[in-house]
Amino acid sequence: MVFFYRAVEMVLECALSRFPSDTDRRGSPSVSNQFNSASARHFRPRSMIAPGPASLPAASSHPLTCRWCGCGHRRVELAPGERARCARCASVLAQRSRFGPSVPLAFTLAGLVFAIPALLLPFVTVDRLRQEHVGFLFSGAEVLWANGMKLAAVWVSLCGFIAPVALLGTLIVVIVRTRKPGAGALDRVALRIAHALERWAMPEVCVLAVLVALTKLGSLVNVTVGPGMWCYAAMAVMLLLAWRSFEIGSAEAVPGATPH
Amino acid sequence: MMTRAAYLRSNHLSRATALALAAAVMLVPANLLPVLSTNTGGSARTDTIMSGIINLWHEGMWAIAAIVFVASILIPLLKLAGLAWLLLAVKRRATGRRRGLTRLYAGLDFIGRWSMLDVFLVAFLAGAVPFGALALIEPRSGIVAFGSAVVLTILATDSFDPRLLWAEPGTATAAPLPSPAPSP
Repeated sequence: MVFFYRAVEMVLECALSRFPSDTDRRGSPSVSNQFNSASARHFRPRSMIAPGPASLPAASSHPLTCRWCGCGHRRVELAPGERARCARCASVLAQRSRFGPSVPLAFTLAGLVFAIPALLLPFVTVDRLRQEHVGFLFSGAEVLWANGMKLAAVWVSLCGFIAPVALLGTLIVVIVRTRKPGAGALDRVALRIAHALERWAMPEVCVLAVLVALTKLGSLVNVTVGPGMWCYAAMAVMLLLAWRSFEIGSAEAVPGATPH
Repeated sequence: MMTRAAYLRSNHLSRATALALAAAVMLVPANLLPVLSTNTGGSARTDTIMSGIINLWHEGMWAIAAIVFVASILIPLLKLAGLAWLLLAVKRRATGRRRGLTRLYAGLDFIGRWSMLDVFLVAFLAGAVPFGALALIEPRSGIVAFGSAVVLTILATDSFDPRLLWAEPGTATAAPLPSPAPSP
């Protein structure tokens, strides 16, 4: 455990020292807090569906489309910690992380680091009548598979582990690429993949289920939580923090080089 | 000629309706078939989702029972009811309370994942206490039906496009079809 804390600390330090935060780079954030709602309303809703990644011009000239109601908005630069809301449906359009893009990167890397021990270390140990059984992260899926419930097995391993890890990997690509000026079609594809994966990555649900199951099992047998479970929970928290500090459309709304 | 918006409207609406109906059908075996059988030293029992919750309640773990009830009974039903409401609103082209409906959709999108709880629960229980030497807990086929129902509700919410709620009959729908409609 100590080793992992050290590793995470080192990763955090590297990430924070290598990339200066956005405010440092740009001086004081220049423009408006809220995006100007009068001018945003001036935009007619552009089209019902945002154009696909292939047909897009450069990211900077492309207006920001609300993913809930499809209303188009002019881009403005947000100060750290600010949110922009859609002028029409009032849902969060974009959010800029309080600490700059390094922090989601740090959380993402930490999540990936935690994923490895979560997979390899014992998840839970059950002993009853002096017989000990060590369960791992995937043993639930294995049992389901062995009992002929292959669909459920695939589903559990997809939502519990594969999608979260893939999401973390995609987030790294998205975050690293948005630092560079001139975001291209590839970045939009990565962002789309991230949004698609986010729907299916539910480690926090799995953590709650494990907690419920432990209380239930506790009355039947002796259960001990293994280090794998703690690492898995840490991964879930890291994923949540990374996604929250990254948030919807922030890669689009916090462009490296777009003064509206 | 069909306009682009009209094309999207029919396409998205029918897909979301079909998936929601499939989910509603799938919920029937999910709630009737057993999901788990436990064998605790002599007393063997086989539980469906509801009987498992009732059992938890009787054992005094009512907080846990409440969590499982909300996640596996309430949320799927709420999701289907909410989706039906949204679909009807789009069909009727209701223009009032659009913000509220969009919020409702965002809420449905958020709560959907929590109904996977029961699937994870059964998988974890089965993995921790395997069939074999201890012969304690065994998953049953109801969990596959329940998992499929949850996946179908998530897909249904996914394929409903909230932008349909905001389509203006006068402006946006009048636009001609410029290119093949991208499917999101």
